[in-house]
Amino acid sequence: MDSGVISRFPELFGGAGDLLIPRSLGGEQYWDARGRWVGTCLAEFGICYNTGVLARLGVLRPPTQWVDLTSDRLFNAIALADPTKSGSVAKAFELMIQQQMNQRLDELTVSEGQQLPEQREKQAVAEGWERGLRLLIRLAANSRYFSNGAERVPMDVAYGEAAAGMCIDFYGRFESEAVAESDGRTRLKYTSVLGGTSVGADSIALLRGAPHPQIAKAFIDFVLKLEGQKLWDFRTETPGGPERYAPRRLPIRKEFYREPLHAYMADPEADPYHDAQEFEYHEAWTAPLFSAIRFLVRVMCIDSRGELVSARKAIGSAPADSPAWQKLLDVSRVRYEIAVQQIRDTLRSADRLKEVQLAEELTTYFRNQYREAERMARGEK
Amino acid sequence: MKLIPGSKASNEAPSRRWGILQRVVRSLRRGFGVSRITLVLYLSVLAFFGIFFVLPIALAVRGAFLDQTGALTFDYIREVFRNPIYLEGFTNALKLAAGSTLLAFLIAGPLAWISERYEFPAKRTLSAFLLLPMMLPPFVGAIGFLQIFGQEGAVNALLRTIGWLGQNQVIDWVGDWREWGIIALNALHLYPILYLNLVAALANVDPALLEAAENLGCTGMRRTWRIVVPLVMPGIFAGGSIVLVWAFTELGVPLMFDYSRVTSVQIFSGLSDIDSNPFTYALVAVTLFSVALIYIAFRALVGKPPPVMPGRGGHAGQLFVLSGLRGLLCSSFFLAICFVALLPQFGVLLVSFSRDWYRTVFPQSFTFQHYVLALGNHLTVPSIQNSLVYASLSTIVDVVLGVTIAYLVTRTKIVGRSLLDTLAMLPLAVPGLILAFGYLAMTRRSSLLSFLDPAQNPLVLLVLAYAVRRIPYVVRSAAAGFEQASVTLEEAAQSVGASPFRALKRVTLPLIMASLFSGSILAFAFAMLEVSDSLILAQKQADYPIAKAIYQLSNILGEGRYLAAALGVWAMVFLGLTIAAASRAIGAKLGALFRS
Repeated sequence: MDSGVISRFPELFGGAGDLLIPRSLGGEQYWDARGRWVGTCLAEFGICYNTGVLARLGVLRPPTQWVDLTSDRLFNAIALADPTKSGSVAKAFELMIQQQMNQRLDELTVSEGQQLPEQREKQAVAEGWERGLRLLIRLAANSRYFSNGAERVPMDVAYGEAAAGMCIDFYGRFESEAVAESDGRTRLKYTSVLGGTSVGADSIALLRGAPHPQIAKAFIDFVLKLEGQKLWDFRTETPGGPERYAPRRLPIRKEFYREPLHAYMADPEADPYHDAQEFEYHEAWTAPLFSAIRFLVRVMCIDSRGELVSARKAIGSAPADSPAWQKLLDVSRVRYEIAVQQIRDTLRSADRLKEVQLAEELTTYFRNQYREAERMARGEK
Repeated sequence: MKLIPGSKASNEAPSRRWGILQRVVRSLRRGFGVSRITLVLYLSVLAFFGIFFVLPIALAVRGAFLDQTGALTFDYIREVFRNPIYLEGFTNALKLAAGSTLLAFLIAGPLAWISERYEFPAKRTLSAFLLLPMMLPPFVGAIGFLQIFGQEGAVNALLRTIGWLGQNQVIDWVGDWREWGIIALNALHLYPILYLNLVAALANVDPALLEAAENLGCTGMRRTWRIVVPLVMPGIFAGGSIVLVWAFTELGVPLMFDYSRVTSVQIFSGLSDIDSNPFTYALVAVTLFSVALIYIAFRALVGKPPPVMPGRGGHAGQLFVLSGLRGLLCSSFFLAICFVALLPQFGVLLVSFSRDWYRTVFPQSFTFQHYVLALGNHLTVPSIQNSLVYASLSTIVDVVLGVTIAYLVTRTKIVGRSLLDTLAMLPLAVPGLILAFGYLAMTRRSSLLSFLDPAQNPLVLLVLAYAVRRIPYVVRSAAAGFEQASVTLEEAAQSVGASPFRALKRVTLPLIMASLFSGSILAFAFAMLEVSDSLILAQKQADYPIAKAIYQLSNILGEGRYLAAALGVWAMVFLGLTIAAASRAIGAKLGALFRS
């Protein structure tokens, strides 16, 4: 319900001014016009990596883009989390696909100026979808596992079980600090994927029927005021900062990204408002397929991971246009229109038997495909 | 009170029903040939098992055979066997179980043989240490195991230090041998069960038979194979089937190893949509039937009683005293097994005191900080309190039920008492995973027992789950006490005017107290670190018992793993002391508690 927060913070949610928090940025909503919820901090996705392990594997340049995680040298060294167990992980996979759609749209815009914008967008979405799925397959082919919890990724990377992994910003930054030496040097680094992630807001709201609405409103106000916002990412032992740990969450108020407050931030290099402009999230493209993406990652990457990894090992450093690679990355069976129709409809059906049968059919399909790719790779050698 | 038409009839109805009930009780008493109080106790115990043991399992199985409209279907079960993922999970579970059992045999067999045949230095102490791993849940040890065998863990660091690995080389122990890691942890946890059973079975082998075989020229391995092995088959069956089923349904270790392609983890993952996903029920049903099949197959394969099994006939087994180097070798062998078995726990101990442990054989620096932090953590202290409450209450339930069952079985002639005895031992055979799932099914929304929903408060279900799972220990120890305490003492008390209850309370109970105490303390200790029930039934942070808190902490960034290790060490010390006390009290009979 409306907590009245919009009218209590006109400098943040009203009129103009340099403190104004945009209603939406990069396609993500930051607050509700009716005051039912407002964002309090921002989060984006990125890559955490272990500098020592990368050096051991001969990776000279740290990964900065999702595609960097598909390098030959990172085979069996990528930590991934299971998107069927975590909504935020599923969102990260969705963003990877959207990045490919955005890139395809840019390419089409440059090369085919005569096409109608709607047609261009439709084509970009369909082709970007396939590119995105191929990226997911290549990523999964380098994976060590799909963990049950998203937290395991930065933990395992920090302790050298994996070289790099996909994680949300504050997981990576928090764990990086946790394993840092006394002089601040750390083996675990985190970088946000510019252009490969949206910047979303984590929000606060007053629930209808709350037993103590006045206290709830006071708490909402506290979280949005400077004193509350400082707790998100001020270093410990700074004025108004947290006592024991910095949660490493990026405050939503803009003044934290310029002086004088910026100097106290635990993550002075972070600038979510800048990062958000590098990516445009189009809800209509993939949001209706959110469950379908989870489902597809399961059947293409998790349930058939054994065959996929085995095929990837056999392919090794073969050129990208080799028949084995082409076979491995064939996603024609799960094209965009099939995902929108058959897969989405099946997942929406109340009959779980149909869902399980479709999963079985697709898993078997991809397993066979990966086995075939492996056979082709071995035949080529 | 306002009288309404027909109220007389409605008043009469209860009294008529009461009359019928009394007649039923009377005829039952006549039929069973027992007193009213005995009959009431008997029926109460049966009702308890019916509601909290049979019903949940039946509901869990039932869900696998009903479609959305409530009609009978075999589609879900068929799909489990058609679906490659479920099938793989199932075969992996079997492989892990078989591997764990085999490895446990390889560890326990030689130990039991040496223990039964030879006397060597520090034998008693080392034998006691051998039992320790059984008391510590293996998933706690997994924290230490992963630290030791991680790519940048202690073993690779050691190999680098001694020059067997280059500075940029690693062996991916966990990644390349994930299944073996699970098997090793299971086996190192479960071998004491086999050891205890084998020692007991070997102790029962009549030396006269061995001498007879030797006289006829059958010696060495041939004698072991032809004479000893057939005679200890019941022991092998007893221990082997428990280990096999335990490993088959183990949940904590595969979870810690991120090994999701196994039935137990697939069931665990399916709990989030238990209301809409019938396949979790189907997996539970298949698991339960498999467990039953395992028992039947084991009995058929190795459980046949030996053709001749006379008592020892007064012959004492010859114990060879080993001194000097040979004695030292035996002690070293026992010590080595103890060391390897407790290695994961040593790892946990070191993690709990380390600031950071990365690329070095031992932690770079030590701190006591994690124990201090654990005292103020929102998960650790409440979890210890919760576990103490759950385990204490479940032990009370166990003692009340256990004494009642043991009394009915040993002191009365009630018809069906052997059935009761079997029923009381059955929880040993039913995995905690299945029972906990059954409890969830039993308390689903709109069900009669939905008020027990563990999402609201798991106290009742956790206490009952712990109690049901551990009741065999209390029943066995109480029954042993009843059998040892002569019934004539009770009869004497009754002949001078004491009621049966008073005679039991004043004469028999004090006599069996020592035996009952050891069984109860064992039940309490196991309840303190029960894994499957805790992971499934405790759903809110405030309700977490120790096992679930350790699992949650191990997945928390930053200091989580250290706090998990600190809590694990606390639990291990607590459990170790409890078990040492129980083992001292119960002595050599500990093995009897693990025989089916």
